[in-house]
Amino acid sequence: MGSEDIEQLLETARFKHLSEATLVSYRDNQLDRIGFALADAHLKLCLICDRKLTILKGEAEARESYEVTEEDHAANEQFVRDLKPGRKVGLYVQKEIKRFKSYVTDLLNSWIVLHSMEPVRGSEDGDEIWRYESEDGLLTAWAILEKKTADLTVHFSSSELSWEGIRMRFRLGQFIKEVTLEREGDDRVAAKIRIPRRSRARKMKDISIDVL
Amino acid sequence: MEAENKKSSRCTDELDRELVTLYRRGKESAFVSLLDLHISLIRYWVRVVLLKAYWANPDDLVQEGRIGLWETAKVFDVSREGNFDAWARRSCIGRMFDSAEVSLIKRALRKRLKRVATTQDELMKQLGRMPTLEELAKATNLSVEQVDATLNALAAFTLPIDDADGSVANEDPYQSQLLGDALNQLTEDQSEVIIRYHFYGHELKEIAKALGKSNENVRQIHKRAKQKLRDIIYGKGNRRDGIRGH
Repeated sequence: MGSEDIEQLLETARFKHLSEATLVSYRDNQLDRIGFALADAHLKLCLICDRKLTILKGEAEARESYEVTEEDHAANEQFVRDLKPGRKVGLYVQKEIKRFKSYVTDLLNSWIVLHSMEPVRGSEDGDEIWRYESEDGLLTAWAILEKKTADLTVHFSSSELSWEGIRMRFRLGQFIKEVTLEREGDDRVAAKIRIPRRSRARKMKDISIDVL
Repeated sequence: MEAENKKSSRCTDELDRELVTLYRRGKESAFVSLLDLHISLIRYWVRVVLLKAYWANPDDLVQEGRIGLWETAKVFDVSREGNFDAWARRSCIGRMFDSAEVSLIKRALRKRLKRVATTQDELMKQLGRMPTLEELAKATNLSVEQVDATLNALAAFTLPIDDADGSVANEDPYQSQLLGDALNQLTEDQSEVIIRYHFYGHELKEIAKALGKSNENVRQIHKRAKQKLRDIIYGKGNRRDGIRGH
């Protein structure tokens, strides 16, 4: 490393596109003399960053002059009311439901594949007979064959808090139950479904979950 | 305070943090105030987005912006340094750009955006100045109007294009910080000469005239400044003779 590196470093510095954070700092006069010079030199060369700065200046002016209307305030209040559990924030909830459905499809495949091969029994009552974890770890589900009663309990758990309030219709054979994902502690939503022994399906792969 | 917020959309980081804290403690009206403070930002970006993605539903975009703010309010660490507004801004705008209707434009314009951006970069380096629209149009085989529209799209769609397209040389914040710190250690004359010569492309004699110094004096200042920068950035042992120090 020598003079060429310094020359190159100085030469290339002014050609690098500015980050949005730098552009915002430049717009708000929050850069020191050197930072300002570097940004300013690039802005004199680059059409793209120059236009980005124009848009950011427009943003600052718009924010400075904007007066919140009664309609804005009412719509904001409505948004917050809709955030309460059990209420739906139209577009957002639809998207989250769609997203949740894709996880459920994957989960069902995992269940069906397991129960298509051979009867699944726990080595002892109280065993976990099935477990699913999505690739990203966001949704976990497992089934426990309860000790003594031989009831089956299916658990769902996720760290995705925006799924709170999502309802599912769970069906296993003739057994149908609706459940809601509810907050469990600060960082999880969960639901569980208990299927009594007498209601357990013979064909365990006969399962469906409808996201409501 | 909330009545005051209804009239004005000016926010401060202290106020943002206070409202986030209150909201997390269960005071829903605090989040309404937070929305009131940032609705101007959301509405501005909806306007910018609609200029290109004119088919998008403005109400849906505003709602995406609100959700972005809500998501930031849920996760923002009020105990640490960091500007809530900057985080919220990225989240609100990001949600709009990622919405199904708007993300269409990224796919539709992707090739043209890349072509114009890459050519602009090449011309900027070749010419050592900002290329004109005509020069860019000629080099890309597009009309001036097409280039102009594409540049506007590039500027407006900051987040997704930067994220999706690595072909454009973006600022490296660590390198900028390193260089900035090093330049700040020079004398004022030295940093002034470096800035004028390397960043603005002035000739040494122009700089001498501007600073009221002799040409030889400025040449010496420049030489010493580069050596000092080299010592600061690469270590004192890295001298021109190639012998590395410790």
